[in-house]
Amino acid sequence: MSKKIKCLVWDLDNTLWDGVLLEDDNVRLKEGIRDILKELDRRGILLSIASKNDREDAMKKLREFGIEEYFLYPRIGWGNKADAIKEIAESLNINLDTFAFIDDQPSEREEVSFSLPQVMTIDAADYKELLNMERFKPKYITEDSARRREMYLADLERKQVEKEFRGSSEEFLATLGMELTVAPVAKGDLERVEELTVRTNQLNSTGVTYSFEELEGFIASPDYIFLIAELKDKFGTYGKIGIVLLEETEDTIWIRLLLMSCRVMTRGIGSALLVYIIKLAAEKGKRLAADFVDTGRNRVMYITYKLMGFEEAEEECGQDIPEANGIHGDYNQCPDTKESSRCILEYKGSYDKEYPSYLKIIFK
Amino acid sequence: MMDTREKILEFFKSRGKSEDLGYDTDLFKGGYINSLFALEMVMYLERTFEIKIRNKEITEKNFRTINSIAEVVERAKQAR
Repeated sequence: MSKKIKCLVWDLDNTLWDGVLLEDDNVRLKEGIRDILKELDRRGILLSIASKNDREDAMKKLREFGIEEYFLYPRIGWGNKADAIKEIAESLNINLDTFAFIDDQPSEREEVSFSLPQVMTIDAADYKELLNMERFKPKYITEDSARRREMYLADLERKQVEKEFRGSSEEFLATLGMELTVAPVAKGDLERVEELTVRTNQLNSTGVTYSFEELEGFIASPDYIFLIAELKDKFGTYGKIGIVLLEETEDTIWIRLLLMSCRVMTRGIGSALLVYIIKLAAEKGKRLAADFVDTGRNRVMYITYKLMGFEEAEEECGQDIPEANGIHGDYNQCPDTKESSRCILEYKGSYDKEYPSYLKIIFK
Repeated sequence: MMDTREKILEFFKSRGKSEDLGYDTDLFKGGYINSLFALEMVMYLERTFEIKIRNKEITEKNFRTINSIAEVVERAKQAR
């Protein structure tokens, strides 16, 4: 089964609009194009342009039509389109096998197919069918999908600023004005939660994936504290990027899952969430422990726990992690050893930890 | 031992993080270290000194200063 399309690249002349711009300035957008662009954008499908045209004239025309903002990294010039598409893929850091290209000229489509066979090509004549094509129908449309383009733009700005900054990481981080909003998971969040548990590897404490029913169970259960975190900074939002699943027993708070999107690596979010959990355990006067499963890719999470003050518990490693309320997950196997190497980490540090100064935490 | 500490400082320098950094500086308080950076440093140490740093050695205490990190390296060298 082919992957869902993450980016659609448009030709301009006789594709996005009727007519050839350099021959007659008076081109007209094709019928219904605006709504199609809007809907693709809402579905979280990124849009770009590969066109043989005069860049300034073309951008001006897009601006005139009020649709310039939809297109990321437009490649407009006189180079070949396969190269243009490759550049777009690199800039967005997205795999070419999730790209599609729409153009009215068969020779252009063939040229792209020749160099980049993994890119889906579409005849401009079929543009009205786009929204009905399977590959353009993502499984989930979350709030984050609709914001995907904005988030890419924000990321671009951030990277630029980070590159130019001279000084310590903390100083840089302080300039970002970051705000972390932590709220209980609601039913409407579950698709995003599932997306995160399936897609996140490195910043995932156990690699466990839960079914929808199990996740719904955690929301309803009084023994579980299930939280989702969103991060914003002055450039915009990173979306919903962190999950915390805690199980409370008589004497212990267990961190069953701690997970963050790689998008927020180096922002200290893992540590911030741990400070919250530590304070919670202190408030309740309970021991704090965490499940950790070495998935072969999450050493960063292990280090996050250890540097925060967690240590391997007295319990023997490899011991079954207790089931509670009959709710459990399927443990992934470590890809190297085919064994899951699990352990229990116990918090042994001080209970007066502070949140990082550069981060504002908001609880809902 | 001096050599070990210099090499560790080198790593910080190569990442542009060595301003006001001494062998006794609290790396956490000074914001010099985050988990990703720590991971990369562990990999750098393992490569540079041809050692294996055991998970149990990765603790807040051991990574607090360049001095304490150097001691981790020395212990790992002995264990070779």
